[in-house]
Amino acid sequence: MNAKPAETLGGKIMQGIYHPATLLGLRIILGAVLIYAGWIKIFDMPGMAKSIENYRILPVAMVNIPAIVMPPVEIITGLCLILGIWMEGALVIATGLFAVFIVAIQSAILRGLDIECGCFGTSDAEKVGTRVLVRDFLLLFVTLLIWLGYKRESTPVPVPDPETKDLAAESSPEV
Amino acid sequence: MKQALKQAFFICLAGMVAGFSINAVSQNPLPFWRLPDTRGEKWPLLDAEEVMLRIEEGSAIVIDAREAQEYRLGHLPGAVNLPAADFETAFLAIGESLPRDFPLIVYCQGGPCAESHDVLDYLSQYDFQDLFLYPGGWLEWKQRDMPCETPGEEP
Repeated sequence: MNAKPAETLGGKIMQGIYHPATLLGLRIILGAVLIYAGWIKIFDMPGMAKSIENYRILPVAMVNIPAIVMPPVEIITGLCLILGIWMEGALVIATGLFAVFIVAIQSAILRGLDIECGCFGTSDAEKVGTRVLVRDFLLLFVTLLIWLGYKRESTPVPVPDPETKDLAAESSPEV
Repeated sequence: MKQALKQAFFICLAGMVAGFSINAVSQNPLPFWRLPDTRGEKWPLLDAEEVMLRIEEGSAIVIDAREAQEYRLGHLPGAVNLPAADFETAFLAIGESLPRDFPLIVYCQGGPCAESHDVLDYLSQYDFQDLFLYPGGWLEWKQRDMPCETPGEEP
């Protein structure tokens, strides 16, 4: 006899992850990380521009625009995640941000750049490296989990038609 | 998905409005486009080998124009920290002991960083005559695996 998905260990883990309380917790953690990161950077835009410049990905002429725009976008995205408004848009942006950070950090590691990450401003002097990369992969994973949970919550559960249900009950032989 | 992209667009728009507004009222607003720094033409340039040779000969003093925090994480051998962002204070502390007629080589993070140019401008105002710029800076120095110093390793 096959066990129902929810009765297996994997099913129970998935049920735990998709539990509304778990999803709310993950949303608050991710939102708080984004708000904290944005809040620190918004008061040090020149430092942020310097951090972006150090990655040597964008032309120098263009580094100021993301330095100006990214911190408030992070804060608004974090607020949306915590408050549960514009969730889909916030999840698109969070996914995009972490994907961009991962590509930038990976590229800096491959090019052997000994630079500060700039993830939480310039005051922490945290260097790019595997630790930072793993952290961003984890944050991206959490974002995708929230996304899956949100899709599951927002997808309407099909309600069986009472007439069909009765017919099915009549046709099935009693054991 | 269309809904998600629409919401993402409005979040980005709100972020842009907020970011540009905060930048406009800040004490040191960033220009939207950073123009290339052409001040390098004012100073004689040295490459990494020339800088290393002068360090080995003891024929120049190297000035690190980056912030103190960056300097503490590592710098060129024997470099003195005169951060552009806090030049006056740093100069009062150590700058007066620098000989006016001895060659000074100034560097910052590397690439188009502006700190070394700022420090060179300050130093010329203080009557330092023999000034050089190492435009490759810390990033090039590290990439080329040249000798470095971090606090604690210094003699």
